[in-house]
Amino acid sequence: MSARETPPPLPPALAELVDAERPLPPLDDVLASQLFARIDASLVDAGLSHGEHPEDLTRDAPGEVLEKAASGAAASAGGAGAAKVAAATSALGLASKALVAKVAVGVALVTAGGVGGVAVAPVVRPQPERVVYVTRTVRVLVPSEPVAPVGPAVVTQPTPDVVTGPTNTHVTVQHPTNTDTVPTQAAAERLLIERARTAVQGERWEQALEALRQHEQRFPRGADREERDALRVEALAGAGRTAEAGALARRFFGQYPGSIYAPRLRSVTQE
Amino acid sequence: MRDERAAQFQAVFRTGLPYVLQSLRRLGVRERDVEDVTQEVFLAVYPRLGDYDPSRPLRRWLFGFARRMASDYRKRASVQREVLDDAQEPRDQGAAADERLGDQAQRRLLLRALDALDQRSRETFVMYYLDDTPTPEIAAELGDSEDAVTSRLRRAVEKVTAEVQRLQRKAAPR
Repeated sequence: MSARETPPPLPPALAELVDAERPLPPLDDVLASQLFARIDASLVDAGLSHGEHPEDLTRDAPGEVLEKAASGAAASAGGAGAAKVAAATSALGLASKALVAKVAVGVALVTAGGVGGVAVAPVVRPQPERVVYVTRTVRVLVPSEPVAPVGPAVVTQPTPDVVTGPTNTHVTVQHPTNTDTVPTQAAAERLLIERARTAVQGERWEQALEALRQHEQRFPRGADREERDALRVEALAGAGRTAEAGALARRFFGQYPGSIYAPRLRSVTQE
Repeated sequence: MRDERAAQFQAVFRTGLPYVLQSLRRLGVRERDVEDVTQEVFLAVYPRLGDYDPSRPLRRWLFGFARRMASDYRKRASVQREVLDDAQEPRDQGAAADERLGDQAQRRLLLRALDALDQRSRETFVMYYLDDTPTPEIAAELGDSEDAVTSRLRRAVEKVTAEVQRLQRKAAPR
């Protein structure tokens, strides 16, 4: 009985190319978040919703949200753990290294008297009175707070006076290697917008308007409100509600002069 | 129950996304279409979550979805005459022209060379040489005999090697 043939080894030149292709590229967190939103919208459209709607993601009490972060959550050692943030990653908590670095910036910014950097520590189950959500763009969703631009990848010297949160602000940062879920308000806001956008693209005007209604209800002063208002004009126009679309468009042009959405809205409303 | 399912889907998505993206590129899905096909993959995964056996590697389970979606994509691309030719991706020629290729250029050159294979050979090559899938598993996944897998790998290696050389010659400065 003859031995079974084995596949040939690769020639050295080809083996070199294969070796270069082997490592898994780092995950683009923005892409992951957008893709999940698209999948979510498609599942809803198909009646196969996996049930994790944006509103669900933020309906949890902060403590429950943090509990979902489970084993990977870590407290910031900067500022002697004075602050804990529910670090916004994406709807799925897809934390890339870059993202974590940016989150670290956010932590540094809200950590009074921190000693610099973000140290890894076991999960701390906080009892937050208030949670500050930090997105990948270090957008702090607390009214009237100045937001500093994203700084270097590694924070060595926190600038605690750039963002000043309420005194009872709690901050938790995700462990740099953790990929567990930390649903966030910012991600939920984005998911609603993406759902509306997908519906508009599919000319499902009523679905779009419903998503936008939910967005306005939950995030009246949300960071994506310009996009929300633009999508609403488009959805109203698509639904044949031209008078409402026109009126809203005129208000939009006044409210957001120079908006990148303006040309599109002019074309759909003839305003 | 709903939460459990949602959590399972999220975990599969979170863990599997980078691999699915990479696999689709390896299987010939063009960069501009990778996101769309990835979406198709996970939409197919969702109703089949109950089929996943956690004792088996998640990647190999996901690869089956990626393989089928990439195959469908390639058929569509073929029908639409969208399979890229040399003129459409000049950057790869540039990559091949470098004597000392960086990792990124090496990856591009390999993926470009894999275009010379038929889809079944490409799948086999990717599973064996890039994913380290044993030949019995490849045979089971593709519904082939192990001997057929081995023979196909031999021909694939010859063809890819020749294609790499061709691309490098073509891109070499004259």
